[in-house]
Amino acid sequence: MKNAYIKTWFKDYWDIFCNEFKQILADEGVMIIFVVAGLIYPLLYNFVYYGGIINDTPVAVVDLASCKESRRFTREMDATREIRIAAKCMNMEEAKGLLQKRIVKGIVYFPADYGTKLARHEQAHISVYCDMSAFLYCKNDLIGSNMVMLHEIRELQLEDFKAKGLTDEAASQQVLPLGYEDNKPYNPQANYSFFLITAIMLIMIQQIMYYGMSVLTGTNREENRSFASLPDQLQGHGRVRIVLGRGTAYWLLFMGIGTYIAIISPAIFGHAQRGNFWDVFNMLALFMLDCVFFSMVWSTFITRRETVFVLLLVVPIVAFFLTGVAWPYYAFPKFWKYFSYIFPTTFGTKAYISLSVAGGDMSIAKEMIEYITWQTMIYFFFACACVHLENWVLHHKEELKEKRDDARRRRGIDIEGDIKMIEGENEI
Amino acid sequence: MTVWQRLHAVARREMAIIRHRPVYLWGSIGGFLFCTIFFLTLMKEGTPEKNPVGLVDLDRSTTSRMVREALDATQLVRIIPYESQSEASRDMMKGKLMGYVIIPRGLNDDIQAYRRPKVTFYTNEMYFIGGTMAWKQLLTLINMGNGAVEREFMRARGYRENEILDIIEPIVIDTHYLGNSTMNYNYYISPNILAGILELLVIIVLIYSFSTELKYGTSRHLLKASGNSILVAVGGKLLVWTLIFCTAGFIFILLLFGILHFPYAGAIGWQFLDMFLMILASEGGALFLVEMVPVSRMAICLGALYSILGYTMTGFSLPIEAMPAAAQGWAWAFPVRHYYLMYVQEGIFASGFAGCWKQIISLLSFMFLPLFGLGRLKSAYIYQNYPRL
Repeated sequence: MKNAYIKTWFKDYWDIFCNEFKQILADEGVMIIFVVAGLIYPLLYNFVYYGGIINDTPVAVVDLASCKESRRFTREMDATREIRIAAKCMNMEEAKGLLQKRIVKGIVYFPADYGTKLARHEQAHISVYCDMSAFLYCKNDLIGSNMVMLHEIRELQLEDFKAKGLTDEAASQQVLPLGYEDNKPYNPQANYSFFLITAIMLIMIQQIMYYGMSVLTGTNREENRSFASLPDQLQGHGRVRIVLGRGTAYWLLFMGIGTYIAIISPAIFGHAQRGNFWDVFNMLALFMLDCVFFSMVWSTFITRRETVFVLLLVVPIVAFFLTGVAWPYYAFPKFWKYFSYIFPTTFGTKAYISLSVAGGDMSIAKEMIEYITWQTMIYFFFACACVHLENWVLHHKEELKEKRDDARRRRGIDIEGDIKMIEGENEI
Repeated sequence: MTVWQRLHAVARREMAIIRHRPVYLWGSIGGFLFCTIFFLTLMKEGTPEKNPVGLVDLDRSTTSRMVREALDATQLVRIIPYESQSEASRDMMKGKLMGYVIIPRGLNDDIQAYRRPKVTFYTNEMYFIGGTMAWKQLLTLINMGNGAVEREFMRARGYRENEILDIIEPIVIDTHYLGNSTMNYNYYISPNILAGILELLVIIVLIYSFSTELKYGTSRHLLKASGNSILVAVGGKLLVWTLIFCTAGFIFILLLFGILHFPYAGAIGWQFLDMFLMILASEGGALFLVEMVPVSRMAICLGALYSILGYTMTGFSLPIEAMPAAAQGWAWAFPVRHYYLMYVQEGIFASGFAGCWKQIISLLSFMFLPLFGLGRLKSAYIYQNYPRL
C-alpha cells in the first residue's frame, strides 16, 4: 500500500513536471522572456554599463587672482584623473553660461585676493560649484579639487617651515605627520557600474522567472485551464506534487539561465569574481529555488496573460532599492525594512556580494543563506496554500463571478451596457 | 456625426473599458502612487546617517581614543569597535560594515617621534552610498588628525593661535552644490526615477490598451464608433489616457516642488510642460510600437524590454558619456532622457527656453512617429489578421 502511494506520488510528480516543461517550451511568449530577456539582457546591461567611471569631467576656471599659486592649482587640477580644465573664463557670468550650455560640469573660482592672502599667510578661499545633475560629476569635482588642495597645503607648509629655519628633513617631518592608506578591496576604482550590475543580475533572475511564470499562469486562465487543478481521483490531495513538479521544471531551467546571468555574463565582461565557484553556485541554486516558490505564490493572482506587465513592471526597480545596495539598508524606515523581506533578492544580493565579489566563504554568507532558506520554506508553504486556494476558486467559480458582478452593480456599474459599448452588439 | 461627437464616443468607450477591466487603472495610477510613496518615504532622511564603520584599535593610547571619539561624534558615522582586523574584515564581507579603520600599534609613540605612522582604512564600495559616506568621513578624519598633530607641534614651538590656523589650513574650499545645496539623495533620485516610472507605465498601459483591441477582437467596433477613422479612434483613446496621466504627473510635480519643497531653480511652468511633453512622447512611442507589432503579447514584451531600459539610458545615475560610444546615441530613443535633460536645464540651471528648446523638439518628434504606421494599424484593426494570443 505504502509502495503504491510512493509510486503514484512519483508518477504524478513526473507527469506534472513533464507537462509544465512542455508548456514552457511550447509558449512563444514565455520563451521570448526566458531566452531574449534571460540571455540578451545581461549582455546588454553589462555592455551599457561597461566602464562605469567618469574621467576628466570638464570644469571651468574663473581666476580673478591670476597669480602663480592659482595657476599652479589649475594646472594640478587639470592633471588629475577626475578633472579636465575645459575653459578659462573672465568672470562668473561666462562660466555660468558654459554650465547652462552643459559644456562644463563645474566651476572653480579663485577670488582676486587669493595670491595676496597666501603671501600674507592668511587663509585663502577657493569656491567650487558642483553640478548636481549627476552625483558622479559632483564627486569628481569634489575629489579633484580637494586632492589638489591637500597637495597645495603640504607644499605651502613646506615652504613655510623652511622659511622659518627648519631643515628639509625636519620640515617634511612636520608636514603630514599622520599618513594613511586607503583601500577599496571589493571595488578598487569605486566603479559605479560594478556595484549596480551585481545587484541587477539577481533582480533579473527573480523577475524573469516571475514574469515568465505569470505569463503562463495568465495564459492558462485565459484558456479556461488552471495551473493547479487537482485530479478528482486524488480527492483533494496532491498539492505538494503540483508545487514540486512545476517547481522542478522552472528550477532546472533556471539553473542554466541563472548560472549564465550571475556567473558567465560577468565573466564575459571581466568583472571580478573572487569567490569559490561551488560556493556561489550552491548559493544560487538555493536562491533560485526561493525564486521558484516566490514566483508561484505571486503568479497565482495573475488572471490574464499580459496583466503582470501592466501591473508589476515597476517591481524590479522597487526590488533593486530594497536590496539596500544603493540606499543603505540600515537607513530604511522600519516598514520598508520588513516589506523588503517579501523579495528573495533582499537576501540573495547580499549573499551573492559576500561570496562572489568579496570572496568570502560559506560561513560569511551563513546568515543570509539562513534567511533565504526560511523564505524558501515559507514560500513553499504558501505555494501549497495557493494551489488549495486555486482549487477552491475553481469549484466556486460561478458563485464568485456572481458575487463580483453583484458588487459592481451595487457600485452603479452597468456591466452589460459597458460590454455593449466595448464590443458592440454583433461582435465576436 | 461630427468629429467631436465621434471622438466623444470613442473616449466614452475607453472609459467603459477602464471600468470593465480595472487592471488599467491599477497599472497606471495605483503603481505610480505606490512608487511615489515608496521612494519619498524610503529616502526621507536625504543623507544616510550613522553609517556603520569598524575601528580596530591596536594602539589603545590617548591618541587612538581621540580618533575614536572624533569619529563617533559625527552624525555620518557609527563606530563599532573590533579586536582584530579579521573580525572587521569578515563583517565587511557580510555587508554589515561600510568600512573599517585600523589604528596601528605604536601610533602614539610614532607620532611623538615624528616617524609618520600610517592609518589604514578599508571601505565597502559595493554599497555605494554607504561606502562613499564612510570613505568621505574617514578621509576627513585623517586630515583633521594631521591638523591636530601639527597644531600641537606648532604650539610647542611658540606659534600664536591665529598664526597656527593659517599655516595648518592656508587654503579652504567653499563647496556649493548647484541645485541641491544639502546634497540630498532624495532630491536627486526621486524626481528622476519617478518620472521614469511614469514613462514606463504610460508606454505599457498604452500598448496594452491598443493591442488588446486586437486580442479581444473589439477593434472593428472601435473603428465603427470612430466613424471608420483611425485618427479619431486613436485620438479618442489617447484623450482619456493623456488626461489620466497628465493629472497624475501634474499632481506629482505639485507634490514634489510645491508641498515637499524640492529645489527648483527655474519657473515651475517648464516642469509642467516637460511632464506633458514626456507623456505625449511616451504615448507616441507606445503607439508606434503597436503599429509595427500589432500582436498583443509581442508588443507588450517589447514595450517592457524597451521601457525598463529607459532608466539606464536616462543618464542621471551613470552619465551617458561614461557608457561605450556605441550605446550613447541610443539614449535619444527614450523620452525620459529628454525629460531629464530638460529638468536639469530648468530645475538646476534655470536656463529658460534657450536651454531646453532642443529637448522640446526631441520630445515633439516622438509624437510624429505614429503617423507613419496609422494605415498599418487601421488595416490590422479591420482585418484582424495577426495572431491574437
